[in-house]
Amino acid sequence: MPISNEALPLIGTAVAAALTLFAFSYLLGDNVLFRLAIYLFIGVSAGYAGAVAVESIVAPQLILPLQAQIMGNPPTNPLDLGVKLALSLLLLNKLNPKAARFGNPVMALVVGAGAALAVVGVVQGTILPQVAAAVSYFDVDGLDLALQGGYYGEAMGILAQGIILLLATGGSLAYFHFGARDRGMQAPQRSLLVDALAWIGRVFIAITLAALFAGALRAALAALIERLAFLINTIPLLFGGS
Amino acid sequence: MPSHSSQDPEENLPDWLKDLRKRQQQEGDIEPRETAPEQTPSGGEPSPEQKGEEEPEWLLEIRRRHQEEASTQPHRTPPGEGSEEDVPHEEEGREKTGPRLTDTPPAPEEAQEAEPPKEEERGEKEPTLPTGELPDWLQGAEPEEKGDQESLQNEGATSVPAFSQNDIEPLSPGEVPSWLEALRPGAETRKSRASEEEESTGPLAGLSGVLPAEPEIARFGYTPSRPSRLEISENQQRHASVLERLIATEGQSVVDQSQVRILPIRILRYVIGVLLVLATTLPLLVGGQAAPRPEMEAYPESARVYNAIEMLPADSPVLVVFEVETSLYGEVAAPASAVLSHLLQKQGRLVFLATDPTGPALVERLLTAELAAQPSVATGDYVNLGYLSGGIAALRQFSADPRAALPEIARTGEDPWTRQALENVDSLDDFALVVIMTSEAETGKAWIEQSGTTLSNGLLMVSSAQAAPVLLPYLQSHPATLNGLVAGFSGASYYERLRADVGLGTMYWNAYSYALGAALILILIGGLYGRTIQSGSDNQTSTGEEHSNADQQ
Repeated sequence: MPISNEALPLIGTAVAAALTLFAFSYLLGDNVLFRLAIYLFIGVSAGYAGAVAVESIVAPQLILPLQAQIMGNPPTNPLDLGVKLALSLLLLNKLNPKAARFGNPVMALVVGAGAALAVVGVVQGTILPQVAAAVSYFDVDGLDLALQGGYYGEAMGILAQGIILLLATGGSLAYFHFGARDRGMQAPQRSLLVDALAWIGRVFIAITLAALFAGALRAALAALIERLAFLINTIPLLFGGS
Repeated sequence: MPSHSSQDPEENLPDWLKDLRKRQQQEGDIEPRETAPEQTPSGGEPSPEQKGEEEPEWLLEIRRRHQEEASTQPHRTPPGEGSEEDVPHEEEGREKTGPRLTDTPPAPEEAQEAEPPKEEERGEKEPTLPTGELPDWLQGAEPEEKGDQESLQNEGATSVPAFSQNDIEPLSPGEVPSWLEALRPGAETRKSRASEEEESTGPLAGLSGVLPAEPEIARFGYTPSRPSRLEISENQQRHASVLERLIATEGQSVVDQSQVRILPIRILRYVIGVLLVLATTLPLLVGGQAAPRPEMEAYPESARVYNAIEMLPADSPVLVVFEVETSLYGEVAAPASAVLSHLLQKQGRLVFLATDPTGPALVERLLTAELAAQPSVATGDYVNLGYLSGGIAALRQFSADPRAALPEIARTGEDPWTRQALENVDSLDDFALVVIMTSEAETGKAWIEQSGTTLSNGLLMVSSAQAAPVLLPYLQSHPATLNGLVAGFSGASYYERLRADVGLGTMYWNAYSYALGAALILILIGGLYGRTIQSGSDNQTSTGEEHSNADQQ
């Protein structure tokens, strides 16, 4: 029996609702339905990603130009096609354990280029701007102006802001400092100053981790709300037809 | 009692010796010492003398002198002298001597194990002091011992026994172990003498007791196998036994105590799940706006996004990068739809891009599900560039030269750069706004690091609540890389309040507020309960330790 075009979305919605309920069944413990939903999700995601990769990358950038080359329609940039073809063939050797080493240069190129770009990006986009932002908290000019104008509350705020930022930054860095002086037969121990800063840093790190955990919790609750809202809107539609 | 000098020599003697003398005086007799039988230094091994080897002359001289002096008068040997000269040489007719006056009394076992021949040798070898040099107490004590020592003198004894012979058990010959025998001074000499062979090579062939013509190192042969005995201390033995016990218990299964707690944990999980579902579902079913929406000054970073879009000229190209994971699409859809709705309201020409394979499909779903009523969406007046592969390198290339990074739309084959929305776009900075919609902090950071520094207007971002804490610091960086952020349901509700609009953020805000409150209460209760249990177990542990300490005391 052919499926009408109007029924296809309904079937898709029904399948989505069923899979949502399968995922919720994990509340009762690990079971076959939950595993079915997970396996489907993983399989469909991998299959879809592969299909997109083939359709969007492999076909238009490698197969079709190669086909055109064979058919007598050479591409505008044959060197580009040759490099792509060679690197692709070398990388395919990774499938065979015996010939996997031939794909190492390609992997090295990918990893090396990615690492270089990541390092440059981190330095230019994160470290330097964040350091500059941290330094801006020590607003010496603003503090001077506030004191001159008699705004002692503002001045105290600026001073406290700088002190807190300094303690937080120094303490967080000291927390990850594990160097200690050798004391012979006794266990190595950090200096008292580093220990004290590390204790302060531990507080700020705990606050940061708590904020990250709170964000993850909020995201999870949001996903739960969205799915429950979907079920509330879908189940009457499936059973009631409206 | 002999006459004493002003310094009574008897006072210098130890108490046990005084008691012994008194007893002997009372008994009035000292049995003659027994002659020690001939003994060998170790069990069964013949002595070198018995083998007919010659003793050194100095030893013979000492023996001779000693016998002469013993026959004339009794003498005292200085204390401690005899214990050092422990030469295992023995002679025929060596006499057993009892314990000496100057020696400390040995333990009965030691007395049996001690070799009488050694004491004999000490007595024979030790030189005697001249009579004129004897201390007063020793000279004064001589006359009264003369009578006791007559029998000893007759036997050639050289000292007064400290103990009555009746008290001394005859010593049995002790077996000296081979390792002890090897430690004796002169054992090497004796062994070397015993192992002397006739020289067989060289001009001294046939002679014994000569230096070898060939050095030892030149003599080939099998090296003697030395037994390798591992000597370990008690501490090492203890550690080894502990390790052995650990290894022995490795394969043994341990009863999992956590199995006992399955039922309570399962019930607790059901209760928490039901509470959260109720806290979420009831507001969705009831509807309304019972929970207060965020204040107008709550999220200044979201207000910056609103202001930036408000100042957007009409028909301006806006790049929207959709980097949302499928699992968090439901959360990001609320703020994304609010921002896209605002952009479409300002007549921006939207250009969508994704670096995730599922991005283009999710974009289409968002547009058709939430923004289908918008004219631009209904007419398809937007550009979906599709999937940009290559990771960070692709981001870098797209930021520098978008046309080279995406020459065409792969699934349709058309050239997007001919579309009206992308007519005058040659670089990323040519876009009026660049909006990154992401559910992961890492993706947002990658866009900020690779392209944020090159944009004159900076980036705007729509993210999930879990990425917001990581992205917020970029709002204050110098130079500015992130100009605005709308995060999660809170940002969506706030943004819709700024626009006086009702969308997903407003619809979900009630349920979101109550679910957060329920989660907060559960966390507090669970934390207090866990802390109470932990403190109770700590008290039990400390009480048990106190009881054990009290028992030990």
